Amino acid sequence: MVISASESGYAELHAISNFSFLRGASHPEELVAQAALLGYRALALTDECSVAGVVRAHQEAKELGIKLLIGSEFRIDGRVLVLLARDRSGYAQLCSLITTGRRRAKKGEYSLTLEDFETGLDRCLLLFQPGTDRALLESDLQWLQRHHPEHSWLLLERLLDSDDSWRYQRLLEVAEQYQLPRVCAGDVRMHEPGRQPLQDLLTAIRLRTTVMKAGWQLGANAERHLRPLDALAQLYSQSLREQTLKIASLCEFSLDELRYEYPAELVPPGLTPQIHLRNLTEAGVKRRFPQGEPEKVRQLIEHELRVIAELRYEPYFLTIEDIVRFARDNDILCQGRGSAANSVVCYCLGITEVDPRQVNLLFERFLSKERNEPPDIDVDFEHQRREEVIQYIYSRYGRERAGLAAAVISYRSRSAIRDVGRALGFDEAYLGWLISQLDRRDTEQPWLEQLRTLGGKKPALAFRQLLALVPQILHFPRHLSQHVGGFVISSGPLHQLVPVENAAMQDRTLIQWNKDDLEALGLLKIDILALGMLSALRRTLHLLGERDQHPWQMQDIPREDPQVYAMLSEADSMGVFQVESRAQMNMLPRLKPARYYDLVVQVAIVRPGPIQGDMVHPYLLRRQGKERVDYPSDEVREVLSPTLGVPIFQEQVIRLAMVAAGFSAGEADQLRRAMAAWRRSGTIAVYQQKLREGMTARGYSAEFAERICRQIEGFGEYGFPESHAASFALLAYLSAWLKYHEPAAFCCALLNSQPMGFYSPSQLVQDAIGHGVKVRPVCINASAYDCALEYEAGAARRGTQGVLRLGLRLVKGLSREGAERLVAARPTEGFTSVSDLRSRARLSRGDQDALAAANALAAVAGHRHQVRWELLREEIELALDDQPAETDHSRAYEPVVQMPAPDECAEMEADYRHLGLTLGRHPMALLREQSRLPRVVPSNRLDSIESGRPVRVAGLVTNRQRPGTATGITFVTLEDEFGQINLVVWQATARAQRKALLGSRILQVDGILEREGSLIHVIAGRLTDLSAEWEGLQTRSRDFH
Amino acid sequence: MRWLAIHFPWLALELHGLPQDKPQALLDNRQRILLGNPVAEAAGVKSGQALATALALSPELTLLETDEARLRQSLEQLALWAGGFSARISVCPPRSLLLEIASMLHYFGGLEALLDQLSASLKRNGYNARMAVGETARGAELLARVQSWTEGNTERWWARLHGLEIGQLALPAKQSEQLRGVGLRTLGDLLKLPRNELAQRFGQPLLRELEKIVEPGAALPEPFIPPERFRQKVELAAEIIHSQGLLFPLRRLLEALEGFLHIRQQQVSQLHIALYQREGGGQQLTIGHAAGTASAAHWLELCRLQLEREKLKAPVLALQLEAEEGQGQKAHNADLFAPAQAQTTPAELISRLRSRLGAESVQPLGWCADHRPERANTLLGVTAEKTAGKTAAGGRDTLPVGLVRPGWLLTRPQRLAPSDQRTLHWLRGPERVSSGWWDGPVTRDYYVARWPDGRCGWVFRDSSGGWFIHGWFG
Repeated sequence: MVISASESGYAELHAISNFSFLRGASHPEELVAQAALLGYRALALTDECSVAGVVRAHQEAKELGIKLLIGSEFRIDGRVLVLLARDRSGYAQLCSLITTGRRRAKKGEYSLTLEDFETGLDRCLLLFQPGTDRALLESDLQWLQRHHPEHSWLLLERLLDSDDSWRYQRLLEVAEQYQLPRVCAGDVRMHEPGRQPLQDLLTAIRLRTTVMKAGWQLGANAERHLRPLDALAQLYSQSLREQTLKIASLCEFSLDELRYEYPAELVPPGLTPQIHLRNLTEAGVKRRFPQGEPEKVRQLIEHELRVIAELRYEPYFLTIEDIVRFARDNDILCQGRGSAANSVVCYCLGITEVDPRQVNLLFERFLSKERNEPPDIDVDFEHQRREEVIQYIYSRYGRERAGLAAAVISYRSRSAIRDVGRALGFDEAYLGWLISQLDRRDTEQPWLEQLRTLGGKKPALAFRQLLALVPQILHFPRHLSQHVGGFVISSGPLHQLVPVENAAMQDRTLIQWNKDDLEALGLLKIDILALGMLSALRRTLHLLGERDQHPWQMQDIPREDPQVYAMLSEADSMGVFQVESRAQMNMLPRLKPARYYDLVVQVAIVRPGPIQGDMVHPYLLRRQGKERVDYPSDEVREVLSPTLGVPIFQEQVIRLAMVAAGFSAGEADQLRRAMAAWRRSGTIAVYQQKLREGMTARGYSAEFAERICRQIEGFGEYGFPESHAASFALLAYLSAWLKYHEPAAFCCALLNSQPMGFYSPSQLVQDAIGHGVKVRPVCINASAYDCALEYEAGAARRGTQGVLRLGLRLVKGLSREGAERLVAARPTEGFTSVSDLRSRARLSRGDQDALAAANALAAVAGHRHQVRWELLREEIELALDDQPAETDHSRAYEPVVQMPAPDECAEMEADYRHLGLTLGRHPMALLREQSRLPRVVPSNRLDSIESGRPVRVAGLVTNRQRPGTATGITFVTLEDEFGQINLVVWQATARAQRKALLGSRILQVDGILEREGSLIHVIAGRLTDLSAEWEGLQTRSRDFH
Repeated sequence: MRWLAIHFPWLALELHGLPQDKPQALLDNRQRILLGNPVAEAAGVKSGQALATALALSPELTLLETDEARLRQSLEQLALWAGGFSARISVCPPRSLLLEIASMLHYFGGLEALLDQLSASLKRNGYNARMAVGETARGAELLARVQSWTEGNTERWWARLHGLEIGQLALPAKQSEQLRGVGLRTLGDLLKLPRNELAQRFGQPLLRELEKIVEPGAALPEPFIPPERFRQKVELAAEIIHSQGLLFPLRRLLEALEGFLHIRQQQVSQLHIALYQREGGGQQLTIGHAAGTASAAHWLELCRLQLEREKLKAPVLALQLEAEEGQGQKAHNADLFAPAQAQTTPAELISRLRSRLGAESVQPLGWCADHRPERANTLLGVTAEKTAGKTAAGGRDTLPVGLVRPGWLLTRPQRLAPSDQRTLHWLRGPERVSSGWWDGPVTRDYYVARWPDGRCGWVFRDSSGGWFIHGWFG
């Protein structure tokens, strides 16, 4: 595009957005739109040492047809340097310079000197503004002439502040004197002057002060906005303005020119990517289908390979295959999910274990020629070993070529209220109170409305300012953080594509774009994610492999075992992936999963999307045969029949839009994006209207169209894709199988993978005991660091359960090194005494005390009070050994003091405190024995009570939650010595008895028992806090000693 | 009993002087509850609770902030007050006082009478306290943290002391946990153990601590030394609009004054009350008593009379009570402008002027960092002086480059007649000032102009197009 100079033409060459964090007061899109509105010929987005906002600006500029220049501003000792990219290589130079500056400094900062601008920028334009230090002026201009004799301009900016006229005159004079070309610009920080309050506020936030105290750090006026052309004409001469157009015409670069190139080294020499992918796939076919593949599978493979070839996505699949292969070779469990993952090709490449014969083949829906969008595969790895995979990627491709995508951390309700409030001078306690009063889940009254009401009828001025500014700052980016695991890998140096900067975490680097930016530019990323359940599965398989003397793999687990489904249908799912939460447990007996696809639905249905879209109830009714399943047309039947006519998955909505409302593939894709962002942008309404019209035109009833629209709204950002549910459901099945058939190994693996999941070690161990697992305590002579399985010596192990031996890792306050030193130093016959332990393992006093407190020394010494007492002594010699130490290098020592032995109650308390669980009796058992629970029905007797009858229950409060999916209800889980009791507390009950509900550790409840199939709830009536009973029991029983 | 400990569990809340029938709580810096008053506790608010939980339990909860310095200041005010009851007082931070009472019992007519008077006075002043007597100072203090104990029977006292749990002995947390870990429960359990065995494990500090608790002859706590002059300030939690509302906080200060004077056997005849008001204003009251008195009740009555006549110019944020020095001291009466020495430095001159005219009367003229000219030129005030110097040195508030401001800024801009406008010669401008949206927006274009008679003035045009003179250059 060539821009001809005309009298009123102007291009803004120096504008920063809110991606210059806490400096710019407008979104990049706002700047672009305002520049277009004012009739600017072009706009340069020049965020400070950053291009993080350019993709958004680029999209908006394309839409509005205004030219966008890509550049960046640098501030060095008061000088301002603006670089603009002329072409693709100028853009690469700019990115490299930003990378250099960012990599030198810690996260969020940059460090550059004038020297860095001397070479390597020949394809960029430089606008230069000297600092206020007059002594440096001459040398600065000489520097400019020496290093940038061409393509550089003196930058003149008039802001009408106190310094303005003097400075402007002075610069004009020196420009004359040095014969420098000059150009004008606006030092723009906001798109319109109305943003001045926000601009001042951002300044105050950045300086950690208030607007009242920020003083001269604030702008003197609102001139740093995009000024109308006539105002500019009054400030700057025509020749200055013409220069802006000339410069704009020199810049020809557009982000559309960026081409992503895949790494090439994955293909062996002499082969093409197609042939290599074909070879790997065929090798996989032989492994997966040893008896030969069915015809249908063969057809699919050919179809998928054809689509991949047409889109030239082979390198993407090869890249993932390579990473997965690394994981497999290193015994790291992984599982792919996402649009392209559930394909036969991925199954054959080992990227997923989801058998294509068991799910609807989803592949073609997601990777299609019409919608030319990059495939999406997320790969989950064991959470404790993901770092190894990340480091592998860095070492395989080099830090030059691999980087993590950024996550843009933006202002949300809480942070907005807090930061705006602070900058307006509100005190912390008040802001804390304000925030706590907001219910962000309330859909009736959005939180901003709630905030408004908190100011009272006549809000103070400051509160009105808070109300005005909080919505303005919402969604403003605050800083870049690393995406959870989105990697970009390129064939050349990454920093020629996008700047790379340091992350907060050591040895991590991230690029300046987030995943939406990458998607908009058609760049590929691979998500490397962490999943605790994979760690637990791998550990379980290991334990079984050790026992059976032959390796167990995920594929060795028999599929579709009816006993496993029967267990899940009883809501017996503690520890099982994805279906162990209270809400899932409530759903299991209703949905009664009987096959794999039921689990896919189960995983997706207990989520805010389907619940708010009102899909759960109709689905359950139809599943139980209480409601007729019908379809308005065959097309709709094809989409909805797997889920009985109720849309459950995100993909179904997209497909419906296409088959029932006539959306093109491209439009459907826009709908998907709008759904993901509808709360932010509100653009969904456009599509809803289009849906209604499209469906009515195709003869669907208005009611049907309305229902689909409402469901789309409910889905919003919470819609769960079938492609992810399919992978999760498989892990849910595998973990359920292990829980049912190998409860000891499964519990052991869960304990060793903590922290993960919903439940504490104490709950997991009790559940295992309830399922017949034998558990032995932590012991210095038997425990390893991890929990382990013990088998009878000599007996055949294969297929037996083993006894769960708790590991030293559970001992609170014991260091890992200490535990490992202990195990390494342990003689085969075990330690014989505490002094033996001390002399061999050389543990720190803290470690010794932790072991004693957890009763791990019981095998060689007395009770824990006495052991701890003796261990506290300065000297090494000990008196409490059962046998005297073999190397008796000490004088005889008689214990002077006998400490009182702990009673059952003290033992239990110490177990909980130092181990987190007890193998002794449950606290509720003790209270029951002491007749402190009159008329309380234990959890194992609840099934003998009729539904609708009053009942009294009591237990330890293990969980208290108010899910967003059920307004007004609090779910409480109680635990007694026999199991769990599920309470439902209605809002009115909760309000009236807040103190007992929120404050109790042991709770007694009088309520009504409700039963639905095997599901038992107690609807809470009167709540009584029994925590004091427990304390009474403790002191009383101690007083007896 | 030799000692009396007074423990103020809710001092950090009560020092704000708010009515105690409303739930109140203190927050820590992690937004968790640090302390709730009895009303809040009754609703289930507990320390360590998340703010959201506390507000769910007690939606009316008022949240307060108290820093260490203020807590300490209040405790010292209470120590002054206690001077009315004992000649030997110790401050035991954060929340206790210790009074030596053995010698006072006769004066007050017995323990019961003393405690009654103390309770009545505390109640008047809006404090809840637990009082415990004791044979040892530390013992009484520990006991008061747990419960009230006013029985004079020594045998029962010792038994109760030995029954204190390990966790109630204010030992370091780690030590306390270790002692419980070996099965000990009470002070009595601990004292039964041989001292050398304890020393081997916990060292001498524990033995010294135990000795303080149980040995009447152990080292006594440091006595509190009152300041030479009485000058006490109290910040108010809520702004006070009516002058009568000042009486409650004033009462606390007057009772502290009474204790202060009591210990010195003095009385005063004049008090100065300074009211600190919003937006930096202030009001001074001087109250006299012809003969002089120490009695808080007398002074309170005089204050009431005076305050009835006084109208508050602005809401009051804090007040300070200062007493004239004790009677009998001669007032200096030198001539204000009598030359003391030949020549003096500016600093000496300022300090002498201040001592003669009063500190408030001599204030530096300075810059306040604000783009609005009328806010930027201000009297800094005595207290602001230091802080202003500090920030300037820090560089944050250095003047903007090229700032041109007239030496004489008119208090109020004067309208410029259109006829005058035509005669002006424009020297410089415009300088656009648009700022202050938070508490007084200003949008103006400023110019420097020369009058026909040669004067240089600073004029502006406001957003409505009107012209004003705002100052003159020297």
